[in-house]
Amino acid sequence: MPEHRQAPPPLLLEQLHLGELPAEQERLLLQRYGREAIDAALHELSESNTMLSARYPTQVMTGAIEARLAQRRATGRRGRLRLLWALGPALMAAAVLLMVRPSTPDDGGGVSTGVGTDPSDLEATRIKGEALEVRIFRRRENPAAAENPFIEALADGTPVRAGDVLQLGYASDKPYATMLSVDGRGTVTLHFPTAPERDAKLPKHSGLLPFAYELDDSPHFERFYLFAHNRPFPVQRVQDALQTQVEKAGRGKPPATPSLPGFDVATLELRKVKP
Amino acid sequence: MAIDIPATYDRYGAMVLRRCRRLLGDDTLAQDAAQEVFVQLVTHNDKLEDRGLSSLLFRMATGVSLNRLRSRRRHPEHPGDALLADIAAAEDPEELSAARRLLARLFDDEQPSTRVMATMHWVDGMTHAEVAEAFGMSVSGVRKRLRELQARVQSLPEVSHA
Repeated sequence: MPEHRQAPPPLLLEQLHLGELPAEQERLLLQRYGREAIDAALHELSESNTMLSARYPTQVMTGAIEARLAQRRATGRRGRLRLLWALGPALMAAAVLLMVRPSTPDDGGGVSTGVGTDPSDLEATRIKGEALEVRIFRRRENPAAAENPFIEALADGTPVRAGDVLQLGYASDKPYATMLSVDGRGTVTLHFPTAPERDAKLPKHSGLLPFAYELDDSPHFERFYLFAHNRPFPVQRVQDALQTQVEKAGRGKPPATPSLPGFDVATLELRKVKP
Repeated sequence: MAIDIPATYDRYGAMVLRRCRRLLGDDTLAQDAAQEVFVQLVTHNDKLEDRGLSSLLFRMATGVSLNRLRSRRRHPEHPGDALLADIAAAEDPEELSAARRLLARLFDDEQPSTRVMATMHWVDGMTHAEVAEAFGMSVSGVRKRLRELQARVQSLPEVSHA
């Protein structure tokens, strides 16, 4: 081991903080570093926990974790869209601001990341727009400043490429909804909720899903659907109805939107182009 | 043993994030790695240790982060962490590039990850006994694994007998 330890080993501190350090190890730790140093380190851990909890809320992180699990369980969809981290507080805030006035491909696209934007604005911003809407944002690197990525809101028909990172969002005046997509290979992917057996209750009337996607190289198009209802519904039924339309349409063609009684539907189709 | 993801994340999420941030030196990469740790925890929940999860999750966070360092050919950003880069990049018969193999080793008491051990010993400053406790194996076993790794990576510090 190193002869001169500057700070207590992180695992032992974490375990002490969690109450999981065996008593004998705790005794040795205190003997080696002294009560004062250990208390100071534990205080730093508490402050760090507070910061991390605010920065990476449990709801956001567990949503992303469950989405990854759902994607891996669905072997047919595995690898189609690579789940990524959420865009991060500043970029999420920028996307929310765009939801107030979505840009179009014609109006110049990018909006700066909003560095310095208070992430709490995510909750405070009142979203206006259509009653039911699929909202998609693309993270775009600014060629003039590679460290300063841009977020742009995508309109129907926007060209996208393999490798593009998309953040999905929604607006709905109905409390229950499911978001799915179909690609040019006819693969159906469920985006919300994270699994067909899960509750389709939207956390709020408009918002962003807690994770982003990297598009794969499937050709022709990526079409997104938002099915909304006033009451709870089995998500699997909607997924099956969409799958049926995919099979009717044939490979490489966008499927017709399933007609399901009681549902409102919004779609947004992105055009796949070669890099 | 079923995993309650929100409850487990509530209790251990900050520790995992902190560990990944420390090793990767990048918030975004750390967030991604931390999510991967919990995904792997759930995926392998039939092999979980029947005790507090802190040790297991800390090891997993270390292993996933080291894999990220290797696969992205990225060096840690903290000064003085050249050692960590050496460990992450070291050639090792225990090929850790595949997450499933990593987890198989992490969960297999006979073959814990030498790379994770090395990080905990040389980077974190844990004694052989402390590393052994974290892995649930003998001190002599830890010492032997680290000596073998050291022999393959000349720049690693001498392994003491502590």
